[in-house]
Formats: sequence, structure tokens, C-alpha cells
Amino acid sequence: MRLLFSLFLFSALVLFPAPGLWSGNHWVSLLPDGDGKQETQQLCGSCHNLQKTVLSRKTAQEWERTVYDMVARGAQIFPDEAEKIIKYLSQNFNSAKPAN
Amino acid sequence: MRELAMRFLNGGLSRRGFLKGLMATGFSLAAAQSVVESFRSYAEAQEIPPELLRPFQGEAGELIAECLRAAQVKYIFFCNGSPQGPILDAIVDKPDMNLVIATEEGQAVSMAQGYELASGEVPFVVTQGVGVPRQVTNLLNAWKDRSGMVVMVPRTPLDTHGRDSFEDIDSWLDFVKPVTKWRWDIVKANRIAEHLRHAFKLASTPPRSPVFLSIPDDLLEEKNVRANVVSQDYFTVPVRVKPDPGQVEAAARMIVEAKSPVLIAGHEITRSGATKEMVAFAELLGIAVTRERGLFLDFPSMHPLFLGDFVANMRYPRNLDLIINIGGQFPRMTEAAEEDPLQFLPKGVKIIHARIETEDLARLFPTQFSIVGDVKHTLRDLTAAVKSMLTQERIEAIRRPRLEAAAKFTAMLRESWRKAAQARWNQSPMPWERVVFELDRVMDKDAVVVQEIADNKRTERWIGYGEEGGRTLIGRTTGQCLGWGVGAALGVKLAWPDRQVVSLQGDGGILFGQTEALWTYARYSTPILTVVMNNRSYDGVRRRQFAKQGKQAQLNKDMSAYLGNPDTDFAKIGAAYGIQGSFARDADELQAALKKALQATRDGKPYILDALIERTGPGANLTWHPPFTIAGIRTRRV
Repeated sequence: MRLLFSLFLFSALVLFPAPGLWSGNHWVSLLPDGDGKQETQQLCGSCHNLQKTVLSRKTAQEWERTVYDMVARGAQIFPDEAEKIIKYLSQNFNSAKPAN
Repeated sequence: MRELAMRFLNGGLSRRGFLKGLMATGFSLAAAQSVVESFRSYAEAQEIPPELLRPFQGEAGELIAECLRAAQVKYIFFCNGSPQGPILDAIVDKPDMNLVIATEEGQAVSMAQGYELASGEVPFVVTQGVGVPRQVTNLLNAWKDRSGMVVMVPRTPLDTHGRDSFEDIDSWLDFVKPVTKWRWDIVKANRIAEHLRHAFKLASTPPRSPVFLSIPDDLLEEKNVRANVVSQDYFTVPVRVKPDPGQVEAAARMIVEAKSPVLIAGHEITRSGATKEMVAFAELLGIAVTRERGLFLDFPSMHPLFLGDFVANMRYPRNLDLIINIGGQFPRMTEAAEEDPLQFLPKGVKIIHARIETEDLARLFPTQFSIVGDVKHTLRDLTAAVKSMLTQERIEAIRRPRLEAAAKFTAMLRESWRKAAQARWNQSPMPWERVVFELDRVMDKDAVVVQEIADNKRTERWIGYGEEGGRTLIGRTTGQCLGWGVGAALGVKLAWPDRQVVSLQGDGGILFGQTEALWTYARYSTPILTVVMNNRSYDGVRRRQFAKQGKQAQLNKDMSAYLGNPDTDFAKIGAAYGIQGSFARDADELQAALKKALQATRDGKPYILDALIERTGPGANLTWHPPFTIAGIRTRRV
């Protein structure tokens, strides 16, 4: 019985590990297709992994603040790219979308 | 003949004796006279004029004052203690040396460092043995910044050492060992002059560093000390070393052949006075310039070639194949200490690293050319070498497209920074960018900004620094120990009294024991505008902690970084020292306050401007803090 439980627990951990255990590629794979995905992946993903991005749910204004905060902190994202990323994140990671 | 020459040069043989001796070995008169003549200039160079070498007999405090004069020290950065009496007695009636009193030892050190950074002179600091622990944070900052200073610390009488005495421990030297180039206990008064000369020499020789001397009280009280006082000029070691020509030649070839090089500008450029040479070198082949996370801005911040910070994934230039680091450390590539730095280097990139400080060369990355030398010489030699390898037409063909591409890239970056601030421009609390923008509009064209604010606030994006005759940026200290900027700004103003000095500080940094420096500001009528970028938070701490998605972030509770409640009023803190000030919560109030502030400084007074700025990042809106109070745990109302 104990062995069965341990096997069950092990399988659960493998299938549903805590967020911190996923590799960077996993979070990238959760980016939905759409205009702005490439910019998000390349320009945001070049500095940090996208775990928090994918798990966050924000309003458009909040995403705008976040993206411009990144620019102020050194992210090399040009204005037209920033607008694309903000739009993409607002459409795909707002409160209406369930957390993955 | 060698022996004759040595005796003549050492002053043990006269000219006539040297001549006779040479002729006795077989020289003709004419030949001997020629030899003597050629040696005469060397012999004369070794004679020290009497006014520069004086025998001394008197009190130890007077000897110290004479040694400081010989080292051309004008200011003693001082924190009070009873045993320092003999030093003060020696200067009380001599106006050529001024005390700059700080009420806290760490602030005395940061003031001294500010003076050193601006003037290039080695300052002298006197504090007190028991105050050593308080000054270690700013000694660390000075050490990391490669700033030289001589710190002298009286301690308990010699016979009490090793007894766990009042205000003493076995050795203050151990306390300061990691942050000093040399440290010594003076145990004989007649060696004070020798130790001071050695200390000043070491403090001034690159790489510079603090030097520490302790002296027992009873030695300071000695009345009949004999020594020689010699001009420090004879104990100064200039290190204007020229680089190896073969290395320069080979490095220049690598630079010429590189398809996508980038430059890193480091602090040795400013230290060496080589900004002009760096600009000329970068412009020669249109090589874009980034910076180390340094103390100065070593390249003009508004130059079209200036990219700002070096980042691990450069968008421009693409496909980096050569990094040329002139005078600096390599920028920190990663936050994660356990990561192998090599993995952050672009594949196949080559490195040329030029510095006077050899320990840092080839420290982390495989380096094709580690060029040892003063960077001013290195830059001149590299420029000449590159020019010798290319025709003017070829230089133009390489430079023009790079200059155009870099200018386009940097223009787009500037546009992105402006856009990033635009949506928040008129809000209250203000964005930091608005505060810096307003300052830029009103500061003198040759103003100096001394800053100790969060690293992500890159004021050089809004204020042009580094042009000849233009504005200068000093800070943040690379030691990163908070509690530096207010004192450092005073030291800078002391060195450059005829330049406007603006001190940009964070509220968190000022609360790290810096308000004491305001006493010194008031005492010496220090015309500095101190702008406190007050977001009532250690923003960076909260960001980094919340980024790890631990329980604080999950519960949306910031345990430690929120500094509000109390909402500290820095203008009122200044008022406690008799310093004028005001609080600005929006741009209109800021503009009005800046007018008043600059008038105050023109009138010779300090001014504190408390500017309310926004918090940013995860948890920015949080004002919760643990509800624990000390009054709340009482069982009696006392």
C-alpha cells in the first residue's frame, strides 16, 4: 500500500511538478500563437525566463506599465515592438484567461 | 670605474676627486672631463634642496602636521575623539590646513573619498580607534572604487595593548585588512614621518586604495621626537606605463579585422584623463561603446556611439566577435552567482583587455590580449597602430556604415526610454525620469551630479555627461554599501568649489546613517542641492525578492522593503540642522522647489529637496507591513 502511494506521488510530481522545476523552454512553449509572440519570446526571453510572464494575469494598463518598466530598466525594446508586446500580453494574459 | 661613479653619485666623492680617479685608471684629461660632465646632471638630480628636507625635533602632533604639509594636504577629514588633541594643537594657529569635521566616522571617509575622486589628491582622515567599525563600510566603498586615502587612528596607550582595554581590541588592523592596501601599527614616534610617507605613496600608486595607520595615544603625546621631514614628491611613484608595442600592434590588427566589435569603457579612462582619446579611438572605426557598472561615466552619454550598459544579449552590434575593454572590469553578466560566467559570452567572441591593474586582466574570460599600461598611452598607441594599417579611404568605408547604424540604434533607444516614461510623465508620485528631466533643464552646463540611487535609474539617459567642459557624473560607488553619497558629494564640492554640485540620493540610502553628514553641510555652509528620490521603499529589494515567487509574493505581503509609516520628511530632517528644504509631490511643485533650491545654493547654502517618486515593479502598491509594535507588547503603560 505504501509502495503504491509512493509510486502515485512520484508520478504526480513528474506529471505536475512545482513551477520552479520547469525549464525555460517550457514557459516559452506556453506562449500562444499570435502577433507579438516572437517579440515577446526574443526580446523579453533574452533577459529572463518567461515563467512569471506566462503565469501573470494583468490588465492592459498593468501590462503597459510592466513592459515600460522593463525598458526603463534596460530592456532594448523599441517603441513599436513594445506596443506589439503589450497588445499581445494584454490579449493573452488577462484575467479572463485561466492560469495554465 | 664603477666604484668611482657610485661614490660620486652618492656624494662620497667630489668632482675633482672623480676626475683624478678616472685619470688614474688611464682616462685622458679630455675623456675624464667628458665622463664627469655626463655624470654631473645625475648627481645634481639626487641632491634634495634643503627646504624640501628638514630635520625635525619637537612634539609628535607637530611632526604629523609637518608631514602633511610635505604631502601638500590642505584638508583633514576628521571625526572627533579625545586623543586627537596633539594633532589639533599643531594646526590650531596655522590656517593652511582646514579641518572638515564629520560627526560619524563613515561619513568622514566618504567625504574624503569624494574629495579624492574629484581632485585626484590623496586625502588624510583622522578618526578614532573605537570608531573603526563604523568606517569600514565606506572604506570598502573606497577600496572597491580604487580610491586612495590615508586614515590615521589614535588608539589606547601602547602598554595597554592586548588587555581587552577600554575602547580597544587586540588589533584594529584585522578589521580593515580586506579593504586596505597596507595597514600598520606605529610603535615608535620617530618613525611617524617614515610611515606617513610610505602610506601616502601607497595610497597614491595605482591601483589606489585606502591605507590605515594606528598610533597609540602616548606616542601622540611625545614631546621630543626627532625625524626628517621630506617632500612627498620624492616618495611618489608615477605609473604612466606605456603598453608593449608588440601587443598593441597585434591587438590593432585584431581590431581592424573584426567584423562586429564593441568597446567597454571603464573607470581607468576617467582616472587617466583619457576621455578624449577614448572618443577618438571609438570614432576612428565607428565602434559602439558600452560601459562597465562603474563609478564614472567614461564616455559621453549623448554620443551616438554610446549604447549604455553592456547587456548579455546585445541587439547592436549583432554577432559580436570582439570585445575591447578599456580600463574597466567586465560587467556583471548574471545575477546568479553560481552560473559559469563563460556561458554568457557570445560564442566565438575574442577579448582585448587593457588596464593598469593587472589582477583584473584575464580574470574570468579567456583573453587574447591583456595589455598592461596607462590607458591614455594604450589608446593613443592603438589609434596610431590602426591608422598605420589602413588607408583613409578604408577607414571611412569601415567607419561610416557603423556610425550610421549606431546612431540609428541609439536614437531608437532614446525614443524607447522617452516613450516608456511618457504615460506616467505628469503623475504624482512622479516617475524618476521626470525628476531627472527637470534637473537637466535647470542645472549648470558644467554641473557635477553625485548619485547614490538604484542602479536601474540611469540618469545618463536624460542628462548629458562626459563632454569636454560639460557635466560630470560620479556614482554610484561600486562598493554598493549604502551610506556613501551625501558625504561624497561634500568632498566633491570641496575639490570643485566653483562647479555646481547636485547630490541625487535615494530615501533608503540616506536612512543608512547619512543624515549626520548634514551637520557638516550646515557647519561649513556647503552649497549643494540634495535631491532625495523618495519612494518610501527599498524598491530593488522587493523586486528581487518577489521575482523569486516565494511566500511574500504569493501572499502579496512585503515584510521589509516598504519604508513608509513613518513617511520620513527629509526637508524637516534638513531643517533640524538649519538647512532649507522643501517637499515636492508633482512636477509643478518640483519646478518651484528647484528655483528656490538653486537660489539657496547660489547664496552659499545647502538645500534638501524631498521629491516624491513612484514605486515600481511587483508589489509596488503594497503598504502593508507586519503589524508588530513595541508599544503593543507592553503589559504596563510605560
